[in-house]
This record gives sequence, structure tokens and C-alpha cells, in this order.
Amino acid sequence: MTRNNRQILSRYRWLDALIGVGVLVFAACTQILQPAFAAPAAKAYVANFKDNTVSVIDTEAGKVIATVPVAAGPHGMAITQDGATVYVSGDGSSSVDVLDTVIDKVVKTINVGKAPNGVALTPDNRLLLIAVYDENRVIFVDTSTQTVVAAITVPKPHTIAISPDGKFAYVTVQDPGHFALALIDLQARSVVRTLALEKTPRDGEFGYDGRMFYFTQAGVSSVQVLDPASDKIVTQIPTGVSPHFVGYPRGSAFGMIVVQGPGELSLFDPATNKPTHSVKVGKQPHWAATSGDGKTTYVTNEGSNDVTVVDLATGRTETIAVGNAPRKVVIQRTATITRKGS
Amino acid sequence: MTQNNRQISNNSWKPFTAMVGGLSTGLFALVVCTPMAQQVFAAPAAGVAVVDLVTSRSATIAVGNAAPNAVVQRAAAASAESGANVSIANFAFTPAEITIRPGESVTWTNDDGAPHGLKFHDGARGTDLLLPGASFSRRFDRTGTYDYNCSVHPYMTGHVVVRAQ
Repeated sequence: MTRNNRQILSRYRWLDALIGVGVLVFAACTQILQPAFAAPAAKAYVANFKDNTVSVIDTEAGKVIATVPVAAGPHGMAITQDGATVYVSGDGSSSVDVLDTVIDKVVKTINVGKAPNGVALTPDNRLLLIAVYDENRVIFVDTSTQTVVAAITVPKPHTIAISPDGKFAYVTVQDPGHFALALIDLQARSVVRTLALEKTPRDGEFGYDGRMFYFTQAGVSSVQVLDPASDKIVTQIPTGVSPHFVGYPRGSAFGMIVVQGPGELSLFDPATNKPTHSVKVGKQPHWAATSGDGKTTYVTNEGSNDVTVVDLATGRTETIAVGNAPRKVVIQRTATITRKGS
Repeated sequence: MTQNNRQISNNSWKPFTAMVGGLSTGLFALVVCTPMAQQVFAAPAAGVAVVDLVTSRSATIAVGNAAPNAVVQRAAAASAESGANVSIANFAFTPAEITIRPGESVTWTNDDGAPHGLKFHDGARGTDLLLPGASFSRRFDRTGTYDYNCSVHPYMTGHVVVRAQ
């Protein structure tokens, strides 16, 4: 081998080395950047009452990506602000399941008493309140330890709504002959007053700004608008037959009502409390959850075993098939979780 | 109204005022509601218009010329067959208590806008989801009082009394 040839080879080895390093750097970058490229979309969790499962929907792909077995008769649902944990109560059981959304599996079961119905998280996510229907009590669970830390007597509690300031909660009371809204002081952990109702309360929710509390009643074709400052019903919003879920989520210009009879999502103006528009969804719609940006609402359809995804700006819809008798739904605010601890 | 329903299925917002547009035209001489206020029977010049207040769907039934009036039975008249009917409407069982003889059946029909269910306290099989329009029957062979409630709304209760006579 001549000196020139050795020099040429040496240069090629240097080039080889450079290319090799380049490939390694590229590969490393790809590895580092891969989670960003493959970042999952926000997920919606739908409880299928007759299947005893939760369907996990990838909201970008618009399809079910997992089905998670849970306690019998999944009823109430709540999701933490960071979207990492979903709580699901089992109406036909005595437990609340804790679902880890990173792995989409139940990681703990909390024994709470017979027939837990609605669940709600305080804004700081430190406490989970559970309406335990057959035990006539509302229990408080410390979410850091997932253990019951308090219980107060409330007859036949159904759903729970916590004020955005975290100070109070309204509980719908379905005790026959004593239908009511019970107001709980969360710091004192006691019922401070009760508003008697003629008809059975169904769902009740605070608007995101806490100014008004909206609730529906069995056999009443309107939404009751209650001013929490005075505990008085200030007006009613007319609806079709059997309004169920009502909400005024952050980011949305409208409040919304799931109306079961006509199978529609009805919007109302929170400033005037007048209905404005409606859009057809599936059969026997039950509940709704709105995306973190306030642009898209997911409506469960108990009678058609699917979820209607409503674009709130245009009213356009799409349908995603889920399990049997879907009732409650929650949705992650953002899709930030890729793996535990990240 | 039909056109509006088509627009709904084509996925666009429907103005709220359209919900009552058909009834505000002044074409109807008379409007009669069913007991559960879920259907409206209106008598225009040459027929009876039946409007489903739940779905807003309507149908027209031709009748005699210039029908000025209409009345509706509160429930179907009892048939010669053994058994009894319970209507689920407005979040209640109607009647809440019904008496039958051994060997007869009770049929529950969901005439409401919401889904309901039946849970029998004696442990017999019921149904945990009875959608609007659907029915469920159970035959009772032994005397006694059978309590039940709606499995979806437990505050809705009823009784079947089975008495030999």
C-alpha cells in the first residue's frame, strides 16, 4: 500500500467515523424526540353501564383504543386536573375504582359502601366526594392515600357538584317524599342547609365561573337556574322532554343541556338563560363532557351505544361506537401524559 | 318541521324557535294531548295530525271531512286477555299498585322520555334498561305482594298484589 493510498484510506476512515457519529446523533435525537412525535391525544373515558367497562377514546383518532373492566354498574366518574386518574363508582357494587390513565388499568379499588352514585373532586384534587346512595351518606376520600377520611349523613344522595372555589357542594337528594338539594360546607364537613324540592332532582352542576348552579328534575321539561348566593331559583330554561345533564364548561360561550326525549344537545346563553340552538345526537343521551379548549363536546347515548362528538362552533357531529349503555363520560384537559413520571 | 329534522341529521345547529314552528302556523282547529303529554293530536281541515312531542315527528291520518274535534283515551281499553298493564310515564309507575289473579301477567311499558328499568325485590329477573317504547312482562303464579322499583331511578316504586278470588 502506498503512502497516498494510506492517506486516502485514513480520510475515508475519518469520514466513516464522522458518518457513524452522525448516525448515532441522529438516532439519539430520534429517540429523544420520539415521544414528542408520538405524543398521544387527550383521551375520553366512557362508562358502559351494562358492560361493566370503561371505553377509552383517543380523541384525535376518534376511536376506542382500550376497554377497561370496572366494578358493576359504572355510575359516577371524575377525572383529576392533570388527567392522570379517573375515579369510577360501581352502582351495583360497593366500590369506587381508581383508573390510572397512563396504563389504562384499574390500580386500586376503594370500598365505600353499597350503591355509590355520583363522585366529585375538589378543585385542588385533594378530596373526592362520593354519594353512597344505599348508605344514606356522602363520604370524603383523601386522594393522596385513597382512603375514606370522613362521612356525613345525607339521605339518598345522587350527584355531587363542588363550587369552583372549593368551599361548598350541592348534593341532589332523591329520598322519596323528601326530594331536596343539600348544601355541604366542605371545611366544616356538614350539611349547612337543605332546599326542599317538589320533584326529584337529577343532575346538578355549577357553571365554571361559579355564578350559577344549574339542575334538572325528573318530569320537569326545564333546567332550574339557582343563584348560590341566595339559594333561590332565579329562572328556568325550557327544554324538551327529560333534560338530564346540564353544564356550562370553561372555554365555551354556551351552557349545554343533554335532553333525553328528543335526543339532542341543547345550548343556552348563560347571560340570558335562554335556549339558543340544538343539535341531534344519539338515542337516549345521558351525559356530556367538553374538551379542555371548550370547542368539542362528547355526548353519551345510552340507547344507541355510542358517543356523539359535537363541534360546538358548527354543530357538526360524528359518532363513535362504544360499549353497552354508555352513561358517564370524562375527558382529559390536555394530552401531556406519555409515561409515569414524565 | 321535517325539513328541520333533516337539517339536524345533517349535523348543523337548529335554532330553538324551530321546535314549535309547526304548531304556530294556525292550521290546526284543535289540539289534544295524550295523558303523558308526549303526543299531540291536532285536527286540521281534512285529517288528524299526530305530533310526537318527544321526537317532533308527525304523521297525518285521513278522517272524515272537516273534523272539528278529537278526544284520546287515557289508556288502551282492557282486552279480554288476562293480565294488566302498567305505564311508566313522567318518572312514575301508573298505576303504582295493581291487583291481579295468580297466573296472570303484568306488562310494563316505558311511555316516558327517559330510560327506566325494573328491579323486583323478591329477586326475580327484571330489566336494568327499558328504553322508551319498550315493554317488559312478568307472570305471577303465587299470591302475595310484590314490591319493585325502577333500577335506574330507585325512588320510583310500585307494587303488584296477587290475590286469589
